[in-house]
Amino acid sequence: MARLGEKYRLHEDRLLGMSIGFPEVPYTPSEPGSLRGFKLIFYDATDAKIGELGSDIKTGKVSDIQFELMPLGCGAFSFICDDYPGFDIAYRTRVDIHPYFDDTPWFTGFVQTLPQPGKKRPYEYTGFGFFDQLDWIMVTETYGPQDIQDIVKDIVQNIVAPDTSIIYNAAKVENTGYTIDAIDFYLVPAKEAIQSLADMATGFEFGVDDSREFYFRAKDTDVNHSFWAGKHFQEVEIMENPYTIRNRLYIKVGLIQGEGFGYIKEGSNCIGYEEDAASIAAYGLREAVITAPDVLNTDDAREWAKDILSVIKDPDIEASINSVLLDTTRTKISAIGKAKITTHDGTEYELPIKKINYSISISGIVGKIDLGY
Amino acid sequence: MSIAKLKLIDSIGQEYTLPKTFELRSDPTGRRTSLMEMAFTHGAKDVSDSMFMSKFIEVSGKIWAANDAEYNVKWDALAEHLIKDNIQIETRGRRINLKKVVGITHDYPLPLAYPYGEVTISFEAADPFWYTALAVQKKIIIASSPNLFEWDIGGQMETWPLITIANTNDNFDFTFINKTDANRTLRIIDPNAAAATTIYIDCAAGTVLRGTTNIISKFSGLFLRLLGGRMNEFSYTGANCTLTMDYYNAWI
Repeated sequence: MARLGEKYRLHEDRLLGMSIGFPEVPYTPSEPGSLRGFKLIFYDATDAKIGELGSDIKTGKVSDIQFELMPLGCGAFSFICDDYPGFDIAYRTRVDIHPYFDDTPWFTGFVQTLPQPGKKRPYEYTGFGFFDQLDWIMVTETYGPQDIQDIVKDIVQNIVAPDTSIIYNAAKVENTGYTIDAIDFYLVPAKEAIQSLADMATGFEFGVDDSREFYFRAKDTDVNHSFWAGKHFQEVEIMENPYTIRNRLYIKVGLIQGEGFGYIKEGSNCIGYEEDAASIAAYGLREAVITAPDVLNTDDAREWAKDILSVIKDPDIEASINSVLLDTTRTKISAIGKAKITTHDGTEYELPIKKINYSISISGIVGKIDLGY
Repeated sequence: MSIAKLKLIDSIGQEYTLPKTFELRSDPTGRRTSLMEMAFTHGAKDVSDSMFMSKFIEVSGKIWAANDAEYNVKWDALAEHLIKDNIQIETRGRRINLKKVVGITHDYPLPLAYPYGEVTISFEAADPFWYTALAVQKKIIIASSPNLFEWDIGGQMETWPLITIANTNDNFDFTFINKTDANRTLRIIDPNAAAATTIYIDCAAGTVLRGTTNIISKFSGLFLRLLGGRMNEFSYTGANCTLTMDYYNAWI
């Protein structure tokens, strides 16, 4: 039985004219179901999981994560810990980044710099995607006549994959339909060798994806993402740069030419030029010399030059979208294809995606997208 | 009614009761915010992680003594506790974890009949929540699978348990879900989790052990948390075991 007056012992409702009490539905932390947060999973050189750092525990250890995706795949990354993580992170430790606890990592890379002994906390680890390992291996081989697809397969399967963490998957090396007559690589970094082949294939790109698998594919020219000012991003900077335009390219290759190549000087390794008349008419004649020392065939060299010319005959248009909000879609944006951006006045731009910088911090999960040719 | 005094508890459980003149003040705290103003849009969007911020706890009071020597003994005893890291302070049956002391003011007014001093101490509470002094333990014997059960979790905030799986049978693959927390799921596939082994999943620290062996490589999914102030429904799928959770109820 209640004591006299107990009913009115807490008088807030009488004094303040309001009732207090517990709400029928209690506080719910950080939107269950939406799973905002992240997880980093670490693997040793044998691909055995050695640890993880995430926001699904009470004592989170990571204050800031940055990583970037580019047409070549996963680029640079870094993360900052308040202390050592409790397991050994070494050079070449693999890091998979799972924003929103996505089952599929948005990024995979390996650690390249570690905090040095004696350094004060916090500790920063940095690294790069596995694409970087293409620079570690030299190619010394002569090919031809062969389809570019077969040359790329041979380089990746037999030269790159055995000595790096890059995985060869034949299905991810696409047919180009172009046969190279002769090409001679002598101590050329694999990245440079494959870049030459991609240029000759015209409209191809290559890289290492978030499964660590090498890919060689036709550039996607579809619009894969659309963003509206005020809805999906905060601001956009759009710049046009006409200073990089070149519309006549003289081509030097890896053999000395004699007579029979037009006005080219005898004994020179210049085999001619490619030009774009429309660009010359619009912007005036702008010349440059390009060199492909590995190429031994003039037709191959011209294909390569045409691909370069198609990019630099027009002014660079670059755009940068800052602070893209990812919470709405929680979907990874890859640097594949084009993005359409619509500015506040309705102007639309369709530009290839060059790079996406992701940031995970107390300020949430946001992206910055660089677009342009 | 007796008024409970404030207590300091160090990391190994030693307690020190503050003089009865001491009182406690909790500095303001709140959830993080990071407003992003969008072009040509009214207002702004909050893009932050919305977690609660750390805060400061201030304790102040007077120390009285019969003479200077006693005063110094009392102050030295208090100071001995203040200089430690990772202490707790307890009031009204709840404790808060304090990283370290970040400010001490000690005034020596002119003695009246007895020497006395005025002390104000500020602590950094990196973890902003208050907890039960003792861990709460819940236990269930799993004799069939899948097994659905629910436990009433006290407090108000989310809290991270230590989950102990004492395997009765071989338990090479099990899944544990907090259905109340949007089906947050963990899974352990461990071919060495034989009968009579014990698995410890520390959801606060993010560690997974079988006995004393680190088996984080066998873990997938998310570390579970408990939602305070409500029934939490769980689902366990795996071999028979005794499942125990130890946790602290948490309040803001």
